[in-house]
Amino acid sequence: MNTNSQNAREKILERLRLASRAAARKKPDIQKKERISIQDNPLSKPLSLRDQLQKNRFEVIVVRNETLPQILSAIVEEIDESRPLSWLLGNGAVNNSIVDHLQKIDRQTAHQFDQPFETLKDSIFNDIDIGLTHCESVIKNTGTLVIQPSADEPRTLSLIPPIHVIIANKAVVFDSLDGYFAQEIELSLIEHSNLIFVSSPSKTADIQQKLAYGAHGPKRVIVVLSDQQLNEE
Amino acid sequence: MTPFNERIIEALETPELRSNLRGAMDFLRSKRSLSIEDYALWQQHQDIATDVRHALPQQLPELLEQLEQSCTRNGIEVHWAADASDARKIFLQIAQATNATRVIKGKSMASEEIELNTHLEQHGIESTESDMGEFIVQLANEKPSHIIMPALHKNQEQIAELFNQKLNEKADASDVDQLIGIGRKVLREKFKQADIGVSGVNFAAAKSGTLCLVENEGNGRLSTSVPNCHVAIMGIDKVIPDLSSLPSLLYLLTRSATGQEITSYVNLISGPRKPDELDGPKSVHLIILDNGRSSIASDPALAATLACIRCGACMNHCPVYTKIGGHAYGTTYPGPIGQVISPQLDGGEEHNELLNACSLNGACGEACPVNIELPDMIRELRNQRSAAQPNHTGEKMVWHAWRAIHQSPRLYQLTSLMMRIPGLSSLLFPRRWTKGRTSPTPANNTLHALIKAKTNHDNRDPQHEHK
Amino acid sequence: MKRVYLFGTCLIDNYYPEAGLDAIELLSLAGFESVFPQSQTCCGQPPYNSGYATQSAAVAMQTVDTFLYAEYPLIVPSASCAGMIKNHYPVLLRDHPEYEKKAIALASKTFELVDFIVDKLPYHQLTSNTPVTAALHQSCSALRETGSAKSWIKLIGHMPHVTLNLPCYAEECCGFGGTFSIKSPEVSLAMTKDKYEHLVATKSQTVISGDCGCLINLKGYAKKNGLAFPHQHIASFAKQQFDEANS
Repeated sequence: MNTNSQNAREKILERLRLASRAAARKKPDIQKKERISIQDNPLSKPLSLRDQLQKNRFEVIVVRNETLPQILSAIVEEIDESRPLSWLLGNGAVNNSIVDHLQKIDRQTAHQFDQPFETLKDSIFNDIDIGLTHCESVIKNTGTLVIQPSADEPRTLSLIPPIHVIIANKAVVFDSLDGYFAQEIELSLIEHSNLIFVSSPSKTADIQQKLAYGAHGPKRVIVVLSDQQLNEE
Repeated sequence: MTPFNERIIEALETPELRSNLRGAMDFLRSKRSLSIEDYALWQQHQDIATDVRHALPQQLPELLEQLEQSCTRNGIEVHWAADASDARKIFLQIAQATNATRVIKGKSMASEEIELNTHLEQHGIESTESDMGEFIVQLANEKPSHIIMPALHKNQEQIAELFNQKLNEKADASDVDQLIGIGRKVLREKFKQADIGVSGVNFAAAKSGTLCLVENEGNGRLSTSVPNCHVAIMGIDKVIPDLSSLPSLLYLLTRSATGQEITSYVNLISGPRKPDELDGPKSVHLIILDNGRSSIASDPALAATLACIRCGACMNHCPVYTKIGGHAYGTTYPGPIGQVISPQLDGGEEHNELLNACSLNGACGEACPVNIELPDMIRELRNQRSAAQPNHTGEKMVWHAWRAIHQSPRLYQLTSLMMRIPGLSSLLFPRRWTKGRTSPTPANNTLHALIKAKTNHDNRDPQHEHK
Repeated sequence: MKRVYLFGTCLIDNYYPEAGLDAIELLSLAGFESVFPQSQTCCGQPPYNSGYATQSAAVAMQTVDTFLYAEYPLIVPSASCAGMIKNHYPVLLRDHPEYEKKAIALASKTFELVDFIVDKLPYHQLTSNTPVTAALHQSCSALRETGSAKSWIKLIGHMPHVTLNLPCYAEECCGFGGTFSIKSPEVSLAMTKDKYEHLVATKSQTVISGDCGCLINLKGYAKKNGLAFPHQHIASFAKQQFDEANS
């Protein structure tokens, strides 16, 4: 920190200390005003995880006892593109094995994020169609997937390619954001310098309030879940 | 006529703007209203968020020091800026130290407040807004007219024409997906080339040193992940003690702002790229900006200004904003929160005039998710303004006379009689009123007189009986 | 009969005195005898909202003295003035040691007229052969200061022969706002024009409201532009319905 910043720091903190010492005048108890124009808009019943995710525009694939190759085929089928597709994945044993299986599927090429971003930047921006990441926590009532970028699965994997595939079939399902924050957040923050709560594909309504997807991030997000997580008996 | 009044009249006389605003406000109000599925739950979150945000002014010195320590521990470089000029200097130093020539910006009202774009341009650094709304506004050489929806004053035809002119594109006004596609294409190049990414901060948790950013487009994530260096700019009022209140704050923020249960992305940043990581900014800087906020904290009647979470609900519900839009205010922050905060920021005295543009109808206070009584604060700022006026000022003398009359029942009744002298009552209403409205004619008799005449009612008044 | 204080308010006193008399009649129907102290003037809201708290406080103290003499509830046929006393006196007078407690005491026994009587009147049993359509202007104070808009809708909306219409943008201000209409006349007038048009669009026979400031404002706009604006204070409208049903 340079001297200027140091001086500003002292100045700001001193003013704030003085301010907080100035005892706040207590307001007399007045009747709390009724907010009569706020009303409930109750849903008939809370949405299931699948419905919530679909409402948020995720494409959901449900797996039961499928093998990895079967799961990957299902994803390729869901993507439903006839042109050759280029995938980018992270590192580590799980990703290595996905890469191996993907290569065996028609028209699919898989790359790994195995060098610094600077080296791969142009190809990630220009050539990659699909980024794949894993996800360990899902939040039911907001339809949110918690992405935890790491050395194995870098930040931009889930951000730059136009399609994002999230393998979440081993994820823990939390009821609400409150629940996740109460149980998980501290540990997650220690391990990850970046945490992303993804609740829909990238979107914007900045042009005359009309919703458009794929503003800057992925236009499509495909989520793989297990039937147990959905609990849809 | 003051410039503010001129801008108001200009806005009122622009039918296209009027209809764009009406459409946008209808949309935002109805989205917010529909997003409150469960008012009891809303209130629970509101209580938690209100407690945290209103306790803030008193806790600021400790929280900011704690934030500084935690961020530093996490590898985020912390800078302090007493005012806008400090913040600009700090930014420029960071840019020069890294030989940066291109900056990409996520949405940040603090960066608007310090007029960062203009400053960088003056120093030969290109600064591009990447939020679609901000990008549109920047292309048009304008400023945002709303803190959440910067370009809501424009309709899609106007935006298509702007893209055709400035970007040499064949934009189709009827196809929003195509328009957004054009923005995406242009801005992707900018993201790739940028040396520095700028962001604002929605909340900064002191305990863990975490910056929280809320967005839908992904441009905020790109700005904070792709360039080598990330600079976040926050007002001192963005700090919160820890992340435990974040779910409640988010619950209220996204619903109040755009009627969303949650935004597409909630981005928690607690440091730069780690040694074993392959991407992310190599350095993260946090500029903590005061710019008048610390003096707001020192006024108990106005300290709650700092509780604001910048959701924009107050402007969305303000009938004045709905009529004139954000540009008429001539300030970084428009609408009710702008009327309250602008005069209090450094050099804000010139914005005192904004205080007149409020009917105290209370819609903003009602809409505020963290219970900031904005109407009370506008009234308080009016009090402070009039207290600073010399005694002989026209308006002050009027209210002195008004007090003398209404403090004395006799004078009051005498005045009521005088109002009934033909021609006198209209004098009560100045030309600024009678220009658009006829002044009312007093009834033949006052209620005082009617009651007195009718029933000798006075006898029932115990005060009278005892005399 | 139990006694209540009636605060006529300065606007009713000077511009709508019949609404004050009608309020007394309605209170009587509800079983209350009204006491109208001649020493009452104004609640002090005009300077309060304009940023002249000192001037306002002086008048507020006069009002407190007038209506704290006996323990009668204070009934105000205006949501705006009732809200001033209920919500703002305790704040306005908190730096006046003698008056702080008095202000709280007065606030706690102050009621907007319709809030006070609505459940004591047989409005739903009215029989009348003349159907009426009325548009309700709720007023910002009735929505956001006292919440009386609910009682207004209950009282008038449940009269069997009355069709009560709410205009679109019912929750938006009519543009009056006291000195706002003088200091920002252009925006104020744009708001008034919209409100007038939305009320007219309901195609009702009359416009009713419990706040005379809004009515004076809307009427002034209509008159200036040569437009019709049939309207009544809610007390007068309600009293008329009871009269007609009884006759």
